[in-house]
Amino acid sequence: MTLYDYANTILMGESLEDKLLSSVDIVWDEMETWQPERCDMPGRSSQIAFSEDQIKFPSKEALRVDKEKGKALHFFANHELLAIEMMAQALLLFPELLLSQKKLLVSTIEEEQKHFMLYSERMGEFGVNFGDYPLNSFFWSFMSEIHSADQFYSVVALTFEQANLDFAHFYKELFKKLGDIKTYQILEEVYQDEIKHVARGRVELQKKVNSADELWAYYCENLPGKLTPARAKGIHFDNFGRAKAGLNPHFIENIKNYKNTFSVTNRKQWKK
Amino acid sequence: MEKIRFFLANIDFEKTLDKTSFEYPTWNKLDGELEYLFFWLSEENQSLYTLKNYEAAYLKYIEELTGNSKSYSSTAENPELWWGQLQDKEHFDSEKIINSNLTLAKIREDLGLTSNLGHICHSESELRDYLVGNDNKTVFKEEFGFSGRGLRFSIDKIKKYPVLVEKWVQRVRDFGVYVDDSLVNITQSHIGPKGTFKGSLIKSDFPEKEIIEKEARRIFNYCQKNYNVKFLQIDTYQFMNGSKLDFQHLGEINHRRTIGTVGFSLHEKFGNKVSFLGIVPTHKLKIEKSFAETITSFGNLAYNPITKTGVVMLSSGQENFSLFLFTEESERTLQFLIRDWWNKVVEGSRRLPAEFIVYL
Repeated sequence: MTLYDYANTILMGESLEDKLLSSVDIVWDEMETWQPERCDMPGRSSQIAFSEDQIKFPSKEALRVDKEKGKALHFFANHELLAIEMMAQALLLFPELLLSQKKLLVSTIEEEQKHFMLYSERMGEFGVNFGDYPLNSFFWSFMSEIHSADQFYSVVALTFEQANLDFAHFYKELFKKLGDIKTYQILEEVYQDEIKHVARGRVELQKKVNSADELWAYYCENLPGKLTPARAKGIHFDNFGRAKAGLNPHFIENIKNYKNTFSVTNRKQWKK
Repeated sequence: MEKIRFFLANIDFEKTLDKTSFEYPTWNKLDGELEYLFFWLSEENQSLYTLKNYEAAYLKYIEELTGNSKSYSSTAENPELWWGQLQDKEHFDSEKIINSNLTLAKIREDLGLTSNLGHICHSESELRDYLVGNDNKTVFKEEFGFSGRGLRFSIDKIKKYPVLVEKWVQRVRDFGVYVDDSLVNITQSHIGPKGTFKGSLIKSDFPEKEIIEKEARRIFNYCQKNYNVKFLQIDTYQFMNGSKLDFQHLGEINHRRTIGTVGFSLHEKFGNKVSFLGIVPTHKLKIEKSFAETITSFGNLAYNPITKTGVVMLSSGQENFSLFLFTEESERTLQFLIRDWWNKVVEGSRRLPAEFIVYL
């Protein structure tokens, strides 16, 4: 299987089997290239199709109930699936990336696939199957505004995945408090991987600037459209994960103190 | 013909220091766990004193990569000491001071490096009194510990007093720093969840380099003046102080060789732009019947002296823990090398542990 076929199957294939395609059979070829390709929407069968319907994320209290736990994990699994598709789209959009950068993206896809599987199995134990609730395409909507690899790293690694440090950290501790160690361990694994993903994005952008302090400005410049650094943080600000990912104190402070109003989506559902 | 010099790799340095009176170090099993590092750095006419046997193929492998002959012997009178200098009472007394965690606490205080303040307790009752009303999570360090050994997380586990009591902190990054009159060499230490040393990342450009160098130089100057040392190996770390990223520039002092310093020397000898020295429990590895077969099993991941990339197996395969040097052109390619090697050599489908992630 060529790398192109791998990315294209993940992006345009309609079944979960396509989305979870293993990378084992990729024949790595430094000379392989293709014309940049962009799709409007990823392929998705009716069972996992995007929906306009909005549902609320379960409250902290509600997470004592198995069905609600399953619903929360359903949200997380959808985010993983969107990340898988966005990374596959990045591979197709930026054939000029170095082979080692492409391998790294595939590595990250593998980790997101693993997260999806972990969430999916666990929510199955709570009686919820993927596709039981409406699936939003929120993250995907930013793909059309990404025109360079640096924009991609800024949006996906340094914004959405950075925010996921906060969510993964918050919910892993919450599930621990609730005595659900199995879900805690899954979120711990996701959290550790997210640190790596943020670090990978940070390293890619870092190469384009002269000092760590300049990273902030470069990152902001590369955020497209209405997206702002406010999206790079979540329910509880995780200093440790950010520091571990190599973000310098200046960058972390800027993220922490960044304020704007969210008009893009209703964040009330994330309130503690 | 030049006379052959024999060396004992006295890896059990801290155990010797913990004794009440001086005894010339003798070979023991702990030495046998890491003494092979000597072969990698020894020069012609230097031989290892050991009671262990090494496969001829293993020595040949090292000879081919280092370019000089390797030998060992089980007979040598008062061999020179390779890991740390404890050849007489005078050295024993001075090494006991500079390597002690009590001295560490004093240096920290004198230099104002008390961000996670250490307190010395001489007995269990004193320690229990000290901890009354202290809500911080604490760790206890016995006087002579190394690589996480001698580090206790509960009072019941303490084997010997006095102990240095430290506030437990969430460590973000650890560094090993070698400093002498002219050099400051930095490696990033990878530490396991229980504080044990798991490996070293070696490269030239750490973002924290400037501040680490400055503080290491200040600590060295102080120790040179007060303890007459010619070099130091310091452990330094970054940690979360509330929501702030802070430094403890003096986590530990070792006045001897360390795996980190050996790793740095090996990187200079064999390394490409970035190297990782990693430790893996041998029982996790698919070790073949002979050393040569084990190296063959690495396939194209084995070290290539022409491109200066690949995996060097440093240990002989007989030890409880195996050491490897991975070297590559970039952190990104290094990570792939480590991952591919892990998938090939580690038994079963074990995940690459966090300490083997070199954060690309």
